Amino acid sequence: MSAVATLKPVLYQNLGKPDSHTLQGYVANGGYQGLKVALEKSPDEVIKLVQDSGLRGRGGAGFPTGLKWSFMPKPGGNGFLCCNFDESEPGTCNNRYLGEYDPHLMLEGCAIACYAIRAPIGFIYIRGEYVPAYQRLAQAIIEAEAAHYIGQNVLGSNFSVQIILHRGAGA
Amino acid sequence: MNSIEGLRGTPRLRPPFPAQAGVYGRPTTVNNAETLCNVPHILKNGVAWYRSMGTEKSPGTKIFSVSGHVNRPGNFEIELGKLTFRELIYDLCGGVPGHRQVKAFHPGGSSAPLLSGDQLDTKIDYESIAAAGSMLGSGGLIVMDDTVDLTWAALNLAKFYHHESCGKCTPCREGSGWMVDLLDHLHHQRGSARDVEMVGQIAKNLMNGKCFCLLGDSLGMSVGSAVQKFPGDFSAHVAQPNMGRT
Repeated sequence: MSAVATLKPVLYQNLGKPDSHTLQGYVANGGYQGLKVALEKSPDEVIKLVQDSGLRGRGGAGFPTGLKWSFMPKPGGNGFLCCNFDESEPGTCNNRYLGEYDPHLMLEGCAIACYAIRAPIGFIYIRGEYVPAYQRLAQAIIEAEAAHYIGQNVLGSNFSVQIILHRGAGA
Repeated sequence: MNSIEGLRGTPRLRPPFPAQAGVYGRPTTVNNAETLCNVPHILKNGVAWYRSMGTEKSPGTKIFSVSGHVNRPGNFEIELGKLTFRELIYDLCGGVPGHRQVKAFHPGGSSAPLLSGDQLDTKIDYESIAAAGSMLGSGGLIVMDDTVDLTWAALNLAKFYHHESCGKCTPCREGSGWMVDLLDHLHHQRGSARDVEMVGQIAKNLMNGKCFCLLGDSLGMSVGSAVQKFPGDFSAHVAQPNMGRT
């Protein structure tokens, strides 16, 4: 039982907190700090950092994320990021709660990734059935754009990113 | 990527890899939503903090969606390499209803090859699960207790994959259909020993990279592992001579 008692959620840490899906709630819980750190670094430094962290893709194949990012051609500027939120494998529903209760976390992740791979546009491909998550993400994008966390000149920097929410049609 | 462009949702031939030519022919990186949700935390708290969790090769945490025969199904975020499946199922998910035994489980979603109940002490991280002969996959732990007939489970799975098959490549489109037919026969006690063999063969010939994308391979791996590990469940369904099979 000891190992279980020491577990601390990271991705799910905001779940269950009041207003975790709003910008206000997310920032109050320390949100968008990572984006600020990223913008102080160069894109290559961000890729290096993610590579050093050893983060592996959670979609199934477990491919090192930083390595994948480093494959993007340089200097770039015309690429895309696709955030795969079309979770539809039988028995898997862990992303859904991230989208519903922490949409800004996903947006921040997309913004940092876009910065690192120098993509001006990021797509979030959301499963068509995830209606509440879609609504919250759509709202989150509006809030984040108004607060300049995404959109033109993020946080007063030269970096601009557009996040497009794309609903799946059952593919 | 095709879906974003408004095309039919079918996989693309690689190369070119998405990083060279992806959406609208431009360089594209595709990441899972959960992966990207890790990134802000890494930037905010640093590499050393992130590496302090998990193992050398599997740092960080992973959210597991536990379903099937457990008393408390749901999503559980756990540090990689820290727990075994036994601890996850019995300590976090409250065990198996009716104190029955775990017969088999998919460690990482339905696509991951089945592990049997005696592999419950496998640690939960990428390497340990791979060493046990399966994969961590998307983190959907499906637990089946000893009341489950794996022919039925395999049939259920095959039906899903048959439905989801996009039809672009033949091994997946036809193979999944044949799989459903054969398993359906077996499930209704109309199959023969040859059918059991055939299911195994299709599983083998579907997998090993013979399909265009991973969907067909996944079905092959899943059902293949079921036939391999629990042949008794399938042969028990072979029709007896006097059971009215013409």
